Amino acid sequence: MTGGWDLAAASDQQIVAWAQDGEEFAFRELVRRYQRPVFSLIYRMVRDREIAEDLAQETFVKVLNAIDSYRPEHKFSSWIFKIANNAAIDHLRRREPDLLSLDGAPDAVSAERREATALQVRDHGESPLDELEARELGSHIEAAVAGLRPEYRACILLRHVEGRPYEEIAAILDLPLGTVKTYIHRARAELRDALGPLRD
Amino acid sequence: MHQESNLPRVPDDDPATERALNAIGRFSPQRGFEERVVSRVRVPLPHWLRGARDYARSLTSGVTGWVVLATFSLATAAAWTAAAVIGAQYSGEVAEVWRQGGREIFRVVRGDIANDLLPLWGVARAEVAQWLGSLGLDPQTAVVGYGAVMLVSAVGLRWLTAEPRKTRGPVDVAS
Repeated sequence: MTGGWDLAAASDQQIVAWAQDGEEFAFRELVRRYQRPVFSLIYRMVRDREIAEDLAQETFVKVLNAIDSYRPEHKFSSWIFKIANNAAIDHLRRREPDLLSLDGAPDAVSAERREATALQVRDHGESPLDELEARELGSHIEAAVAGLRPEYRACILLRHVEGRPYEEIAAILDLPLGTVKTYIHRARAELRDALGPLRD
Repeated sequence: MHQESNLPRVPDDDPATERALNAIGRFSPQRGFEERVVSRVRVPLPHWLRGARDYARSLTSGVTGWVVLATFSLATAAAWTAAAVIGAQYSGEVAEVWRQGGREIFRVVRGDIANDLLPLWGVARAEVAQWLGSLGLDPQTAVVGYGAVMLVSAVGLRWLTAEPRKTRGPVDVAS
């Protein structure tokens, strides 16, 4: 609770309304709610932690500084994911395409740079055997997702990591609904092929 | 999940793919991300204050320094013109009113000063001098001494309430 407002129970629209009324805690709450989803999406798109941090920060600054222009008939999550995805796509267009590596970007010339550009697989906090299996599976799926085309990657991440409905993904990516379904379908097919050795 | 008929047949409930997708988690940005973002965000003014500001701006929108100057000049010119017209039209009456009024005002002020203020001041001064004399003080010495006490008090208060001057020295890291 902040000043009598129940932040945990409040909807995004309510939080945004408070932010539009000049309440700083509402800005902080929006950052807290979306920092991990936004950062994860961008990080998996650009595969560089430092750049992902910068782009995520730019995304939030852009969204929060334009909070007055937000219209409540749209979902806040769609808005912020759209700007985050556009930031990542713009970055990918600006730089040379590189090869996928979970051990770091090909242009990494130092150990720090390799560590910064390597995707870190999530630690599930399970038993050592389960954790090993999960990390192995996590490495494979991260590699497989990173190998997808950016538009497929954005679709599959928004669908399976963020749990967004197809309609919202279509709104976020400015794509027809049918195209989103096709992309997700093809992405899953590519993932299935990439994960072939792990299949039961 | 809805499948489009022209798509190649790939089962969406493929267990290995589902299991792998479920293994995808979220990443966290570096610590302090929230602070870094909020420090760059312009928090808008409260709604009521913005309303008042916008209203004030709407009243003064388009008003520049030249508009203010022109308005002031026009108003001044109009006032002077009106005064000149009235003066020319009723110069005799105005002069008579000024003469009578001026004389009356001068008489009243002079009478008040001579009849009321000066005797009152003389009485007050005599009372204070008598009181100071009963204390063994000379009036002029008392006035000078009172001024000196006020000056010393002012300097002392200024010195006591002054901010401590920054000096070079070891930095308190803990703070």
